[in-house]
Amino acid sequence: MHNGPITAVIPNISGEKVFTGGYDSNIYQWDLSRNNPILVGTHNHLINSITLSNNNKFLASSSSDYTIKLFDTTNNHLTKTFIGHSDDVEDITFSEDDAYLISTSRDHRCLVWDIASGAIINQFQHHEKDVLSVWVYKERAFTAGDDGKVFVWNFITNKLIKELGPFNYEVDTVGGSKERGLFALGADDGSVHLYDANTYQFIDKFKAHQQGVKQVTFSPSGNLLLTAGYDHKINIWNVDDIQKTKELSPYIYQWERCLNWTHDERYIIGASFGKTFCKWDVNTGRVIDNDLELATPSINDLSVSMLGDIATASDDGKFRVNGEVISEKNHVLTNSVCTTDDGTFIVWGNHAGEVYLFDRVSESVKKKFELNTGPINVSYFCASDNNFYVGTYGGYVHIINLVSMKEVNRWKAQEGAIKSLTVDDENIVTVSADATIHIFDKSNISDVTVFVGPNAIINDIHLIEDKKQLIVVSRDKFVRIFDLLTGKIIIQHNKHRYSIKSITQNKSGQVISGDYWGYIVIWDLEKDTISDPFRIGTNGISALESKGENVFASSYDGAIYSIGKSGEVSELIRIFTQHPEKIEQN
Amino acid sequence: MKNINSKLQEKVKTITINADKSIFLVGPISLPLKVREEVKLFNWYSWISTTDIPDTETLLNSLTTLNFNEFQQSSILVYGDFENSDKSIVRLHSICHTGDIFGSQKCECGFQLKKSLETITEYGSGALFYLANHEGRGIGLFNKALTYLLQEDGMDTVEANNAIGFDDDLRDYEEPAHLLKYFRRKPIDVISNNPSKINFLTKMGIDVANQITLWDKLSSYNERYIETKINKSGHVRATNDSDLNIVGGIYNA
Repeated sequence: MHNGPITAVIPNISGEKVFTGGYDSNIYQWDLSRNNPILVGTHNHLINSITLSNNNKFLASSSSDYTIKLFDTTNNHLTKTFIGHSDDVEDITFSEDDAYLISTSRDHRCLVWDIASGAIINQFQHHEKDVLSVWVYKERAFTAGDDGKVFVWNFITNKLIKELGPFNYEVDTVGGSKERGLFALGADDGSVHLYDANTYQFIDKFKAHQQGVKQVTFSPSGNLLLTAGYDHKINIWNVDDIQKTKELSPYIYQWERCLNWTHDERYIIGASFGKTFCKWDVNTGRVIDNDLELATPSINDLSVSMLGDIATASDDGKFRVNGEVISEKNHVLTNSVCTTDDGTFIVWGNHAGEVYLFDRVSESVKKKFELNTGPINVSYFCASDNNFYVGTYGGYVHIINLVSMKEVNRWKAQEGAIKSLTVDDENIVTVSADATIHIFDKSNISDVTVFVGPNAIINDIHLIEDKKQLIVVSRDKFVRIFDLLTGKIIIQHNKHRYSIKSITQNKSGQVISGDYWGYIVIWDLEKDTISDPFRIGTNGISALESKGENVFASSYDGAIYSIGKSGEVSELIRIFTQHPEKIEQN
Repeated sequence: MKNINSKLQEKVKTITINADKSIFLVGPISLPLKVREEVKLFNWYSWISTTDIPDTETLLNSLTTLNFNEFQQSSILVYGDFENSDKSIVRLHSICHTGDIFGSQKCECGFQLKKSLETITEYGSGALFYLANHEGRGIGLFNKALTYLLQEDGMDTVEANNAIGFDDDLRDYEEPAHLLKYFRRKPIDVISNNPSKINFLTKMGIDVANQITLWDKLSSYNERYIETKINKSGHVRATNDSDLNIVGGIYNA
């Protein structure tokens, strides 16, 4: 059983087996009833995608450990490891004759691998940003990525055949039907674009979702198209007339990043937030076994009150303080949590775009806000104006006032998802997936200054208030300090070997950063020293917060750690153990 | 002298920066430049900024005593319809005596100067600001020579500036920003590898549409210098083999 979110699911043709891969680095084989899990293999880091060869004899997995692995499905033995990418491998697919693998990566490249020899026969380098999705048809690869570009190219000759677009928004997903000779693109504005896969002629565009489309999957016959979006909806469309034929029942554990049809088109199976996969009956649209709890409590965020109470947001959506569940009101994954300084109120933001305001005195949910601008990613409490500031995947900032308990303002702050935000008396600063820093004047939200600098997604920021300086960490592995008034990059380091997720500054002024592999770097600005990265968790450091003499770190591995000013680390709370074998090794 | 002065007065514009400080801008003067082996006509300007000369007339009457030869002055090379064209590109180029004039391979300045002028003519409209007080990231030529000596002993370019008592980068873009606004209000693309420069222009109210990065090929002479700029000074890394990259859309939302 998985110990973390499941990112990839695929059934075999006969319908006897389902394979799953997840953020716990494991690949499992199940029967369709979700019983008898067998561990197929593991990677050294998150698994982003798995796929089966057309003859179902092999399974390929792509991972954030930069490798691709090939398993023999008859005996689940590891056959080969493909090494060549220099960043997370996002998507992977077999050619129709099963002779080649085509992979896409955050290193901006697509590689074509000869399966028999393991050699890289081509690298396609037309994408300017992370390449997220691939579909193959005949000898052609259709690839889409963060640059908003979709290319059709011949993976044998490496020749570019066609560029679609340009689009004004990111295209996260491409999928097609060999049977129908069609392919579809899912865009960040909620639209789906349908094309002829032989002529690349545009056929139709329709509004499939209120927010970004994360998945498009044709049914095996090609007659139906499944789409899923950030509006938390899964829709099924008739391909011939583009009419919606069904909307699947929403399921709190559904994760729109991967959904697949069984070959008899009776069931939809999908990614989830842990344990095992989601399953729907296509006929009824209903979730099968609705009462199963499908989530493990990887910790996505933490917030510490002055009293030292630690609130956590986790994949299982339960509200916890100091590791104890204080409310079962919500089971949808929470990505953000924020407490008032005195600890009397806490807000949790979830994947369905809802914010819960929890009263610690009465131990009850005071109010629930349905914001509907995508999953909630970040929240921040500003004591001077008594407002919670909430950022969403849709690029919106919402202001919820604690006194009136009402949403008092909202605006589209950035084009990309809001990854982090911070507030002082004068400014609201947001950063996003599009690598820009937006600084809003609190008294006039339309007055915004845009700063650039990082070369990739910005994951977190920390404001040094007395100096008007902003610490920014990014996927590009740099910690940068900006002067907020001029936009000048004052100083920076790139000691991390992996993408940086979180940042804070402790009372002594040391800058502490955490990366996606669980490493911490301590940067002492005064002494001009930077530590080497040292590992505290077995998975990424999702959040860092400084309180008193200590820094508190939450990890996807299920624990909260404290880091003292001399770098001493201790485990404070463990909600669950994602990697028991690794902890034993330590 | 009177006739001469009236022609010159017409060609000298005063731009107020603040209550104390003004810029006297002279030009345009037609300047034929050889770009990619072809002669292209640029409009050349030069300027001084001052706190103690009240007006153009006073300036023109005191030229012989101002000793401008003791100080370097900056230039602006304007190409095409810089004010009105929809798309235009700007380079704020810091003077580099060794790279621009001698063609030193220790830095990429000479390459960037040449390539910037080529890019401006390819755009059909743009401006190059040649900034005279920016030698050695603002420390001056003599001090730059001192830092080159320290670099021979193994320091990088940032460490060497620090070692002789300077910050890494002392350059100021306030005057060019004011002049840019004088010449053009529409959005511009900016040729720069340095996001701090882009952010400063944005903060000054200039609408930067795109940052265009420009990297010379790495050689054994410039490799360390370029790596230091990327790793210590926040410069944007080249994304592929092309020496001209559009890094991304940057806009004032």
